[in-house]
Amino acid sequence: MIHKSMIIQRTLVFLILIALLSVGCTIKKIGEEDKNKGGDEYSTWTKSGKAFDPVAYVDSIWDEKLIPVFKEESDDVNMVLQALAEDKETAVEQYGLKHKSGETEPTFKVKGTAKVAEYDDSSRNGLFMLDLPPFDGETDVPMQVGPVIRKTAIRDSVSFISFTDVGNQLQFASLADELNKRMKKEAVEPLDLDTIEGKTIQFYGAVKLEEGQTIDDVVITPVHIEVVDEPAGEED
Amino acid sequence: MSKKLFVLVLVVLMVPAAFMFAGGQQEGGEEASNLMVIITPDKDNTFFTAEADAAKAKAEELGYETLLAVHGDDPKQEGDIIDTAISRNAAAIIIDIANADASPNNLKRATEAGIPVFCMDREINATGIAKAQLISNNFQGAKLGGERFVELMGEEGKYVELVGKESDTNAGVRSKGFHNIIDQYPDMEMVARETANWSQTEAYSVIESVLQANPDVDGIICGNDTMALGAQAAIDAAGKGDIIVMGFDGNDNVLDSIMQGKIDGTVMQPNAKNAQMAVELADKYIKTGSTGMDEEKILNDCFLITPDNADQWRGFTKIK
Repeated sequence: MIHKSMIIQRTLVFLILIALLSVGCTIKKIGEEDKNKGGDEYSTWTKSGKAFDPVAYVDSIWDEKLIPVFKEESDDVNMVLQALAEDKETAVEQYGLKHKSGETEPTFKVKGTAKVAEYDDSSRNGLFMLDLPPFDGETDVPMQVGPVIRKTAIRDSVSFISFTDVGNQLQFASLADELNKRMKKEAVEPLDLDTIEGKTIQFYGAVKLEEGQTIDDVVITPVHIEVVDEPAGEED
Repeated sequence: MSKKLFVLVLVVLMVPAAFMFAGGQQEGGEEASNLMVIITPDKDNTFFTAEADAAKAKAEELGYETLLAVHGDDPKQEGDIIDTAISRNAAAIIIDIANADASPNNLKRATEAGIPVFCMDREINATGIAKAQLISNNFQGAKLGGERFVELMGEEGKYVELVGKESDTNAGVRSKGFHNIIDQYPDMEMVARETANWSQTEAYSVIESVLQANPDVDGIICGNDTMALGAQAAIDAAGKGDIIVMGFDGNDNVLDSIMQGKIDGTVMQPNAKNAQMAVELADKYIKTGSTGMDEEKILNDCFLITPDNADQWRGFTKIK
């Protein structure tokens, strides 16, 4: 008899405990829902092993996304430069891409035809000094061709790349570096730099104006360069 | 016997469950306070005091009480401050974190207690914890400084790098940014790379001895402005005025030195802006339940300071 009542007692305690535990569980769940409300799940980029791979990422976007976006969305370089010369704010409004988040300075995607008036390799940040139509022999705008490529114009000129997607600032920077590297391979390496002066090129490129910079500071970072007055068949 | 054990295990399990229950009740019952807890790394470095001041001023302007605290780059101390904020039922925590990998766990405790957290300056290696992160793009800034340094050096010569405190993520980030640029110039030769732990006096003694060993150094690139001030003082003492010095942060003493033609340049961090934005987003979140931003991480770029624009900034804020 004693035995039986003890079992009942224990069963009761057990039921109460289950009830209490489930109350506890419920409250914890609400907390979890609340913290997920802000958006993504927790993702630690350095510890989880899903570190960002810039090479693989650039491989996956260069031909399929990046070049098509430039071909589709670029504005004529002369129009953009003229607009910038008149008024920076209006030019940004009309032609520029301002990122949704952060204070990234505005960028432009440009296209055009130009004569390489001069190839200035006195700095490691080598430049094509471009003469835009009408061809008057004067330099209108420089284009950087390396070997050192400065800044992050390519990365910052397309809207489909966002900082939050990439992780932290180092990975975000490594992405810009990889894009610049890929650009050199695709756009600059196929060129014969020794004979480039005087030739006409067609190009797509990115321009980013940093804080306080004006039209005088514009440098085009190319994504695609094609020499157009070569005898047919030499270039593909 | 085995049943007794089972009950015992359940009792042990019940204790934390009951606590959780009690915690939940308490949270729901208490009114949210009007207190913003502002946590920064250090109260001796003007960079961090300016950041704390900017956050405090903005919070008070918006009608909040403030509590300021420093964690000294120590995640444990940071955790203690956060526990204080939790016990005082803060309305929000505005923080420049101690460590990118260790701090998320501290911050998680606050968010689980229902206190929204907003990061400024340094970023955490996690998303989904802070409601917003207003981050100084240190890597971009370091590249900017590195580019200017290379330009001033004429793309060649011997240089020294002064590195910040190793435990601070940004010491490594800036060093990587410098080298990301400088290492692309084969005629730039690094003759010494030393830490001076963000300290002016340490930088002075390090550079003093480096210059004795390498009298032909052409430039010194520094991970922050206090070290640049120490380096410049050692250069002055050695009578080598033509050595190029580059800093990082944009503190007022360095701006003065640049205008006097001593230190050659620095990188201005948007730290007052980060602090103000963090408080504004916190205020918006408290009032509406949302920051209204598409993305959690907002990366704010740094600016290059040269003798031409050094007079346009004061207290990390653009005045002209």
